[in-house]
Amino acid sequence: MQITINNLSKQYAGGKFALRNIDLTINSGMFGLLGPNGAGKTTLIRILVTLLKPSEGKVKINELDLQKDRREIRKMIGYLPQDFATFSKLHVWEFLDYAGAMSGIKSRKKRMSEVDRLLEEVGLFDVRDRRADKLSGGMKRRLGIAQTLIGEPSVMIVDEPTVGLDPHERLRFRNLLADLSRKEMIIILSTHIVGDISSTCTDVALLNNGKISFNGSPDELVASAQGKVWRIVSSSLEMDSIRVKYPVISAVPAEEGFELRVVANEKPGPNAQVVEPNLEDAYIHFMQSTGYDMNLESGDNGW
Amino acid sequence: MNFHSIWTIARFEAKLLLRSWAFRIFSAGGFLILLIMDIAVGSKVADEPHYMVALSSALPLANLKMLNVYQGIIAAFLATEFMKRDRKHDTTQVFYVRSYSNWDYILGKLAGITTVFGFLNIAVLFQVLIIHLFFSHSPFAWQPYLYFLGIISIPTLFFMIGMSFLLITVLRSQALVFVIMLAYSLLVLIMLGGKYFNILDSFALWQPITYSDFNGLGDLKPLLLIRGAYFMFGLGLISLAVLTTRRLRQSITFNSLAGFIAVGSIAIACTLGVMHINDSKTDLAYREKLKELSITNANYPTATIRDYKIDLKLLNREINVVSKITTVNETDTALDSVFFTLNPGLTISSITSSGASVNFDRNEQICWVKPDGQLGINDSLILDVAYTGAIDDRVMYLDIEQERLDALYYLWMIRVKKQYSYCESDYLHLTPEAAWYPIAGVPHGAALPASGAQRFATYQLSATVPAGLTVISQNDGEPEIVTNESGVTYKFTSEQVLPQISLTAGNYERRSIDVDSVNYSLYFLPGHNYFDEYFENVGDTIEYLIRDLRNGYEVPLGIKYPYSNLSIVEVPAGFYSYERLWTSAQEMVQPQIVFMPEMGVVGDGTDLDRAKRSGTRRQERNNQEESSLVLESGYFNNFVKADLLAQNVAWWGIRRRVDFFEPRYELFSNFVSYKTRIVSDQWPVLNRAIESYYQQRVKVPDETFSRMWRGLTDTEKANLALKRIPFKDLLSNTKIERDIRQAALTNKCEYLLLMMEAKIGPDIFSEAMDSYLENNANTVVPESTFMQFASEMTNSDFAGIVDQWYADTVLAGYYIENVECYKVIDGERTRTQVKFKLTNPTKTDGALSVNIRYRKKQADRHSGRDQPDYTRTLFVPALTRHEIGIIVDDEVSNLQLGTFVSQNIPSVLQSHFREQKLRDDEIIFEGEIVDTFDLKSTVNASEYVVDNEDLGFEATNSARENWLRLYLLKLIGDEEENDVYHGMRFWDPPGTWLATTDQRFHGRFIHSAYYKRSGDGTSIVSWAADLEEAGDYDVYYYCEGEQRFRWWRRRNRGKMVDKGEKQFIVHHVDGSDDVPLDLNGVEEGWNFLGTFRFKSGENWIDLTDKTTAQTITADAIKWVKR
Repeated sequence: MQITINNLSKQYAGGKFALRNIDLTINSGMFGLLGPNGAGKTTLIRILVTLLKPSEGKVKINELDLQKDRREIRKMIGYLPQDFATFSKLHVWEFLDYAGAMSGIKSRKKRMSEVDRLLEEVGLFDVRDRRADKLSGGMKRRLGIAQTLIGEPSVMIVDEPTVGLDPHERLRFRNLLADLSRKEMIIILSTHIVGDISSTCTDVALLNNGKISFNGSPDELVASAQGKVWRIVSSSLEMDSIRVKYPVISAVPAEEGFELRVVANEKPGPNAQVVEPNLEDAYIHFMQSTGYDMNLESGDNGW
Repeated sequence: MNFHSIWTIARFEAKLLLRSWAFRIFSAGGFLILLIMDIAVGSKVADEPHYMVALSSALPLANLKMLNVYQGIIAAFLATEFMKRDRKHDTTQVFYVRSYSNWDYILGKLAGITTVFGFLNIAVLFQVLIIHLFFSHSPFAWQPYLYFLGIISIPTLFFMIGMSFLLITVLRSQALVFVIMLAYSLLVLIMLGGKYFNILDSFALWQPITYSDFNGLGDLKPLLLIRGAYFMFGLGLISLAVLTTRRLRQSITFNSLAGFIAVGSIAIACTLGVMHINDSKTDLAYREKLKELSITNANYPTATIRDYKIDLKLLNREINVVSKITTVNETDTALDSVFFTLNPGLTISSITSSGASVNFDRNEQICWVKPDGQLGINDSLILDVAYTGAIDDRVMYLDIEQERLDALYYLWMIRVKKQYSYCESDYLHLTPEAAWYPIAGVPHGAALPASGAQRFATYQLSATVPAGLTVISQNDGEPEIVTNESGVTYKFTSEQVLPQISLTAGNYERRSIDVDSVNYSLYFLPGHNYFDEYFENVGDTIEYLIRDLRNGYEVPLGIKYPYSNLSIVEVPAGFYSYERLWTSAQEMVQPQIVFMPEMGVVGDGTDLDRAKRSGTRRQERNNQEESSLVLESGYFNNFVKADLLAQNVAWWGIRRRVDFFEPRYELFSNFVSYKTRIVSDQWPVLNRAIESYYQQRVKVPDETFSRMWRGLTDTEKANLALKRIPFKDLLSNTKIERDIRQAALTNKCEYLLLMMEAKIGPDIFSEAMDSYLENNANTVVPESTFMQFASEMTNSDFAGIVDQWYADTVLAGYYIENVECYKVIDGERTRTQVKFKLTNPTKTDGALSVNIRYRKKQADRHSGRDQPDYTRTLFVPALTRHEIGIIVDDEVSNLQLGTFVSQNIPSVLQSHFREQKLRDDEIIFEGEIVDTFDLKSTVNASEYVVDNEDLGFEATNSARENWLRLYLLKLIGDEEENDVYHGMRFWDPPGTWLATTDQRFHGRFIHSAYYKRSGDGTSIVSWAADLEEAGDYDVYYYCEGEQRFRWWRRRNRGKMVDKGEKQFIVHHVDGSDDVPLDLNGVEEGWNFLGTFRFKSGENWIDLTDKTTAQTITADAIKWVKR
């Protein structure tokens, strides 16, 4: 199972490029598509799920051409869009039934058993008769996952699935994805939340301003930030000046003021100590090195 | 195409639609409204209108039509709503990425929406069915339910959904699309629907669609063309939406297919539409051609036909006929060839004479026959004309304006398709207008003012029809019936010469009775005997009722019914006929036969349920029980009088309700029109004048109530028109409403001979007329013969009188004063004296009708109106004054003075009398004192009267009338913009001064005044008089009295109309004074305002609109020199 993206560009009617010359190869397993808001993740995904036509370039799924073989490709895809909502008048099981029928399961009996199996899997069996609009945000998202899974797709594309979820639901959702990633299929997880992909992704691509700025394993990404992450204790006065200069990942109140975690190419202060980077540090470091304004203090960036 | 996907989308679309509140509320609301409507108009429990009950298709049709508009608009809304919803959330995107084609997607949506609406339609129809079957008097037929669903609902749904799908995929704004759809719907509903041969009628509201129990849907072609066009167009738009939908296509094949279907369907739709327009245009052009032909050929002399032997067979929607005709050359020259008219749908296979074939030349309806030798004067030629084919309706009513032919025949929601003949395999209905047998020359109507060569003739008809059908035609006694292998043959022989015959064959049931040697028959379709339940107790009494009715008609008319049988035959509701200028006869009434529409759908007296209800109410009101026999006799009398004798025209009847409706069922033409006929090139209406003279003998004077609503009666409007346009031009002036022309025709025609009658005395005149009629029975009379007769009888130059009557615009006018009514002692008896003064100050002779109704008869009246108890026509020569005294035996309820064609408005003066006091000292006065009228003697130099009709009167409005209100009033037909006089809208008085008329107002001939609702005093009227001398004058205001709208005022607890006071401003030499006039104490007539000193020259008095009453009127002011 392989998706090959060759020289893919998308230019919108106004002339703005959402994607520019993307080259990517995605293999079975969970693939993380990371990037800030507006980087072009959703555009790329909408192209992959046949909702949008690329301006240039080719996408192949195995040997199938995304443009020419929509019928077959659509049979392979399960898609969970960013702001997924259900038809409010349908019950949970009906919604899945609809999705199942549309995914090609003609036998009602088979569909029903699939519906029940998936509801069990995503933990919604107890609310199968509830109206879809009466579900909580997390439940809805899980229902979304269930509908992508119905009909056994070989490519599952999930766009920003954890946005707006409470920590408990977010965790639950990540676990669900982790379970799925063990299956023989491609899962593309697009997100701007680093935590979503840290545990499960075998491969990750960083999308920034319509371009791929990194493609590799999460470990490679972390390695690239080795020696660039610092811990520094500062007074509140000093903290402000540090913030102006470097992206501050976290600020924890300490006895002498604040304990800051800072991404910087050089030592940001006399008492700064190098620390082991994690995926989030690496993401920030990487984004900063590609020129993205990583000033993390909202108060100072012109708002 | 993936049926599984389509089915799935449709299933869930339907599920979602059914669960959406918008749809639920809409459908429940619609269902409920229709249910209430059905109970109100279709069920026994309510006062259902007869036409809803009479036609088996009325209920389903009205329901589906209403539902169609409703659901068309709602479907547009829901379709856009559902397409919008699909885009709004990413929800649908999870479905968009599934594998199915866009074609599947749109078809699925369409199937889902139409299925749900289909169920709604079926639910509504089921509801209608229940009411129809169990709670309605209406006959039942299942076909309308099925047909109308397909013809009305589905094409509209497809079209509306298709258009909304397409628009929403292109425009992407639901609000915008819905506004466009709504605007489109309104445009069609209000303006465009009925235009351009109904091609824009997407809701099927204008297109005539009815189901008749006789011939089903009738001609299917226009129906299939227009409805088919909308269906195909809808399909095309839906297919286009497949291409314009935003989802990336999946299948080139299906997208191309959608493209092909879109182009194909739209092309087919356009072709169907163009075909319909072409058909309609071809029909128009063909009619024009036929008309030309008739007019051209009408100039040629031809032989008349004196004897017919017609052998007709009905075979599969065609007739196969051999007509043996005896033509006689009654012209004054020998003829090389003769011609006749035959329906162009009938192909002549041969014409032979004594077995030898004769040359003929056929051009559409005209057939020239060229015998070997000349046809000498009075020579006859017998021809056998063999022809076959179906009747072409386009040759009928060539003289009728297209506007009238196109006028919709509608009964509320139901547009009935007009048809003039029927030639089905199991139903045949042919009247002379169809020219189904050769008619000498051209028919009378085809080429006005040509008189036609058709004469009275003897007829023998043998008609062979499929077994089971009954044939009805003119006959002496019962027809001979022979059953043979090809069906059944009916043989008819006319008992006397007739002007024409008709032929009707159908699956009829018959009831008949012999009364005084006349056989009365009723033919109706099985199951259409709705009348039976209203006549359960009449039994043998019917014989007496018929006898009474006949005598009651024949005695005042002075003519006996000339035939030995009379049949009422039920014909399809769509069978239609038109009024003509030169005769009161219509195709609806043939010698011996009256055709009544299906179940009496548009009859006045056929609504027996209404008659029953009003009978019950009358009993309750009068608190007296009437026996069933009395009640049922009432229904019967009412039917005969209203429909057959036109003596009791009900206010709810179609003739009162709508002005387009022309068919009449009056038997009158059997007494006069079919007995004799005058042909006149110079005065085509002369024949009508003679008919009118007889007709008025049995006619009930018209009500004049409409003035209050409409401002003027049609007669008054006609009189106003006749002051400008001579009668002869008015008749053909299509710019003037047909109603007004019709009123002018009736009024003028009655007037001509009645004035002569009044002049030479009613007894001498009527006797002479009756003997004229008897002497000229069964002949066509040349104009000169009648002129000679009339001139001798009246001892005058009658042609001159007729000429003046035909071409003049000078009308007489009358002053009617001092109308009194009281009891007097005449010997032993107490009698009633009616007195009035009458002046004709004009230079034109005139006549006045006097009608008196007695009080005691009021209680006997069942419904509608009766003939007056006393009638007389007074001759009122130019410049004469008359004092009229009439003595009658009974107490008088009201006096009606009709002025015929005059300048008077109101043209009919009504005086109602309450209890009449005895005046012992009065001398009985019966007769007429005539004096000459001298204009100079009446002029009083010291008196100046300024009426609102005079130049010295002026009305000033401070504000313009609200345009929206004017528009709405116009829309509901309450007001016509250009009318000089307006109705008295006392429930909603106007904001500006408007002229209105009533006999209580002051005026010379026109009794009018201005009125408006009370205001702030800034809108004023003023009266200006040019006083010759300065000095003191008494000033009076003419008040119309308090009687008006008494009932309205009573209902509104006294806060209405003229209570309060009027504020006058009198301008005099010392300045001006405010002079109030308290309306509580006023009397009808002149009321004294005060004495003031005026200068010589122009002086004026104002009246403001400030009053405590709701309305204010302004009429006349009088200055009297002290």
